[in-house]
Amino acid sequence: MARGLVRKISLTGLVLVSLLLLNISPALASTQSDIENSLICPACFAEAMSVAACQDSTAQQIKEEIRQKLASGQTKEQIIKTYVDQYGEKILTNPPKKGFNLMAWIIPFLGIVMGGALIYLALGRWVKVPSAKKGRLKTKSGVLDDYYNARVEEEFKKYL
Amino acid sequence: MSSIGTIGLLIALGLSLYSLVAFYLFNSNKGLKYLLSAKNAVYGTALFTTISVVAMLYALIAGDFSIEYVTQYTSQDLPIIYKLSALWAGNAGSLLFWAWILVLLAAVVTASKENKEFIPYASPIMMVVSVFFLFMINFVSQPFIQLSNVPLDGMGMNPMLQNPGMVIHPVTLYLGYVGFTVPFSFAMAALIMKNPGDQWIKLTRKWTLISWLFLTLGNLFGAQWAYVELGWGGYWAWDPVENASLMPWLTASAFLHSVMVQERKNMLRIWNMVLIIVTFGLTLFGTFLVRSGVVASVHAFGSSSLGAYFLIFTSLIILAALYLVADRINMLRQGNQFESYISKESSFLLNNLLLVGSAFSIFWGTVFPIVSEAVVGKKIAVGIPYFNQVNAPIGLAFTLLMGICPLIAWRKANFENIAKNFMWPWIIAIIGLLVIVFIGGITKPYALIAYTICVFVISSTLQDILKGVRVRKKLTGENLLVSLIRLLSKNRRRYGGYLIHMGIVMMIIGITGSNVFNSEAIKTFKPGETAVVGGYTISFKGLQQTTRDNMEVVYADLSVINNNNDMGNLQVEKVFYSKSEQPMTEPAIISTFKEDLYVLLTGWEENGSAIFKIHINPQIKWLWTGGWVIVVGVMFALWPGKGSGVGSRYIGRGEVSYGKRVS
Repeated sequence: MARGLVRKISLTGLVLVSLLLLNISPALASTQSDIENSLICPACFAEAMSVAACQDSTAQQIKEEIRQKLASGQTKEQIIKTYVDQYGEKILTNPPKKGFNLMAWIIPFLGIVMGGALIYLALGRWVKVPSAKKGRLKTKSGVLDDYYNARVEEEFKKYL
Repeated sequence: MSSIGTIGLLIALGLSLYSLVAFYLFNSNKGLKYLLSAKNAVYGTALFTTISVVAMLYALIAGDFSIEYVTQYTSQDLPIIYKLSALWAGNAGSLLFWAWILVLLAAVVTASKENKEFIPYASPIMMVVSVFFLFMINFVSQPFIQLSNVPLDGMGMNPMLQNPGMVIHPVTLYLGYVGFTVPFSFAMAALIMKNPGDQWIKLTRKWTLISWLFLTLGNLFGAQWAYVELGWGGYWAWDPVENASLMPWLTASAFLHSVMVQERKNMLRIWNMVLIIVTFGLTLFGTFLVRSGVVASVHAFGSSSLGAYFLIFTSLIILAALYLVADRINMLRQGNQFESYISKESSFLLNNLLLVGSAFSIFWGTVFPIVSEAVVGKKIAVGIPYFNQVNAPIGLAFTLLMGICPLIAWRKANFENIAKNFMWPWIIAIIGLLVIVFIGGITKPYALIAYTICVFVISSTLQDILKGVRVRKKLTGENLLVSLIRLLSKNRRRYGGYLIHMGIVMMIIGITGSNVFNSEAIKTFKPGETAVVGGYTISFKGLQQTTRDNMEVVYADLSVINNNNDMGNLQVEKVFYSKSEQPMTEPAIISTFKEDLYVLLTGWEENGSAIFKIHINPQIKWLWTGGWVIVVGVMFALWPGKGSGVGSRYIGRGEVSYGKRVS
């Protein structure tokens, strides 16, 4: 039983992580806003504001450029690449998932896994009762149980 | 006014320094008179800071443009409410405001009767922080600098800040930030006094919970402001400053849970110390981020030397605190034991892991541009998609725990029981899933997982309440309603917590809906045209123009019909402020629990046609409503009187001692 649950939990965890790797990002309405969201407005590097969010004239201009490029049949990847070639990777709201940038994604989950391991080890030190380690309670029913149950109920009523 | 303010701040700084000396003398057994003197110095600091704040407010309202700050952030035609809120619109003013809340809190804590023995140690720690802030506004970022050439009018306030949200958001956020100084100071006092018990936690519980509430509200009001004012259809952009206020919220949430283990079982004493130190450190770290210009941020106040001061002070106080913990570590070591791998205690550890893990991932993403530049010399930005990708799975796992953990017993639990307890909630969650898929027609995996988890959490919480009612009914013979009311009102701490959880679930529903199902369209309307967008029948009559206070407004009235229901009129505006180059696009919103219709006027043409950007943002109202549910939950748990006490204590093996029921 215990094993089964642990397996279930780790399976759920795996599903969640694989979803992450499949990169199911929140659905975006259209390619237009998809591109607007993945580029930083070149006038706003200090604020790191995306073209979609930015209100100023440079952003308006880029939105128009994207519209025209899309209308002329360019794909999302082509359009984004044009801007990356022009301004460098810093124009992307999300760094490309390669090289050192991968550390951005790996480190947080590594931290959580290590934290989990730490908790597991700590519990191993703190839990002193050997029978409890297996996650089961061995209870034997006995004559005294009825007596204790009655006592507990009595005590309990005082707190209602 | 300027000289009153300047002198007031100088005296306040002097008094706060004196109070430190006097507390020190009292603590080295030099006599009671020094304690009284120190306390008076604390009150004096609060008084003189208040005088300076009043002087500043007076100058802002009266439009005393001889003061640089007043000139920079206000103008004559600014509505009075924004003249007041200009106090926290700029660097120097917001630090003054922060210092003011801090010294007022210090005075309240010092005057309180219920924590007498802690005062000689906790109070000076609050004063150390106060000294830092008073030093900053006296010498580094002075609010009362005078101009040699007095202008006739000021430069006016940034139009984006002229919104009710910006009046209330900074206040709530600062109250939250500053509030955590209290539990931090008491924790440090407990260490200094070698009092390792949970007294400091009990004494500061109200402060902690209320600060947490304000931090929650501060974040929500900020999000709401962004939503109704910035006009990009969203409410959270994972900007470093937003992250800076979310991180302490996460660690504080972890702290709220893990202190329960200490209260009940006298364990996790070191961890709780570390958590409150980290939370306090993060409240200052946020300020460092905003004022230093080290990371790109929308909220940047401009790079200045302020950041360096904050970094140094924060590092020093955190190092000192950690040193204290290390020095007293033997005293904090726990004597108690866990009795099982699976228990409420251990489930709190899991909760803490995810909350702190989420805070860490946000921290890492926020500083990653700096790390990347330092390590590989490449400038990059880390934006919305990254934070969503990393935090969505953590958030969902965390929500799931919210349904499981409250139902696990203290001390010992076993899988058989847990499985039995959760049978019904799982069944209901699966039915919910089927309903969502087949009737709701939703197939997006993230949404399915999120909604199923939410249904599970709600049903497992309700089941637990129902179980309690049933037991109570059996034991007392009361009817259903009476036993429900009595059950809830006699364990307000527990059920207040449940209510807060329900608020969080509502927020998760809102966040899921608005992120997964949002859609947008751009549509040009000719005058008199009617069109259907996203199921709404929208009629455009024509553009109009009007003058209001300090602005020129171009607006369109749109009438909206949905499913034959008249949804009323939307007034969509483009606002030209007298003091600002860029016009502001003010969205108009029709909000229901199903979705928000969010319309922006993006432009117009010669022939009177207008171009609108129309967002459909599902379920956002759940997010804001969840916030109010949390307010009610906190009030319910904290309201003084019967039922707000801690449950039984479990110390030692096998014995249960019922803690003092606080009445």
